Amino acid sequence: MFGRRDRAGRFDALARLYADDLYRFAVWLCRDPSLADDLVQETYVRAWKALDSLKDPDKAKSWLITILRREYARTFERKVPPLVDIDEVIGLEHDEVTPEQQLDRARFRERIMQLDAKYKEPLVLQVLMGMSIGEIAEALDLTESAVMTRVFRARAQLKARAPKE
Amino acid sequence: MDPKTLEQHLMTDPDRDNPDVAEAVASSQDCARVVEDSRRFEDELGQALKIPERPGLADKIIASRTADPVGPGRAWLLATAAAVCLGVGLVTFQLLPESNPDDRDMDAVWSHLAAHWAHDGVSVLAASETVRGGSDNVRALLDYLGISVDTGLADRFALGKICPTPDGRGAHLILDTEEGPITLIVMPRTQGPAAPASQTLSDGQEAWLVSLGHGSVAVIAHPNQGAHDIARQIRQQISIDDALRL
Repeated sequence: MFGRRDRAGRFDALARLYADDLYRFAVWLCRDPSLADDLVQETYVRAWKALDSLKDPDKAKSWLITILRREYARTFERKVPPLVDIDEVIGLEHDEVTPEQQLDRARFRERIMQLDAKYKEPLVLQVLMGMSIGEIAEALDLTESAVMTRVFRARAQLKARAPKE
Repeated sequence: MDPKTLEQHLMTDPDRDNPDVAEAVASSQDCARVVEDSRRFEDELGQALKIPERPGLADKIIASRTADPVGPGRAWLLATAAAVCLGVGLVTFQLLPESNPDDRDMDAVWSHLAAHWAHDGVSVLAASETVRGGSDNVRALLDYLGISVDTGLADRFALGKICPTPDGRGAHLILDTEEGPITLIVMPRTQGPAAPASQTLSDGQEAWLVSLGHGSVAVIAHPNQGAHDIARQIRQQISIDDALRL
């Protein structure tokens, strides 16, 4: 993907490819769209400074996730102010769904938010960002078997908490 | 693959295009049912996780990069240039009459405020119209930052977030007023001007900067919203705790 492109070109390509995905992940992480926007921009500021350390372009997404999570931890190492509920964030979406579907989605999100972060993060990376088990393992600094266990348990908990039909 | 094993596999890796999965589906109706259940669950999960995108985010990131075209690979060039500039600056500084140190400090604060406003001022203001942070949450945020606010004022905050300031973390707040929402940026560790000062930002917004004794606050609003009066009032209602916890 990058080959002989210059540094700025590589960076711009990373921004175009992954900024939206990173933003979505950041929203699930901090539940505040403006904060997520800041986090992503700060992630790219750091990425720009450290771009030469990214040797393998195929690992760019995991690399950016790692930077974003570190930045999030650094910024909110002591406490995360619960600024905005995730449903209010999603509520900004102008999606044509029925009220019943909206309610179902809201309930599903509630169950996702109840997941422990160690289960929620790999699940979001897999489903929302389409990352493979290997990529998630790299981004979260876990073994692949640990990631597999966590995404399995995340789904199992979501299913267990689903209303019975 | 039996249905139970297939179900466990799909809960780890829901890739239904996997040849093993396709083979299992073809081999039994129970497996086909398991795959159908998985598909329905993954669809619901994907819909629930969907987040509206942030239009123009990539462009904003690239624009920031363009503003800093010199990467660390050329850091030595930057360092050399900085050293030369510093030398020239020192000589010039000694030849010129002494300027007011307060003005120099305030230039940096104004530059920061202008950049901050350009970064997310409008979007946070717009978000406050639809996303209500809740005054309790804003109070928790202010408490965390060591910012004390009179109760009457605290109840009027529509939204709050942590933001960078020239000297560490601060609070980016949206205050409901009779003239519409306005922006406050509280900078707990940044000294304000000796007397209230104002500037017009690039998009025409009026910004007032006032000192809180310890720290400062900027009020950014449309020229018709009376930012000066609000700044004058709120400087009596906001204070920075002596023992900052950050």
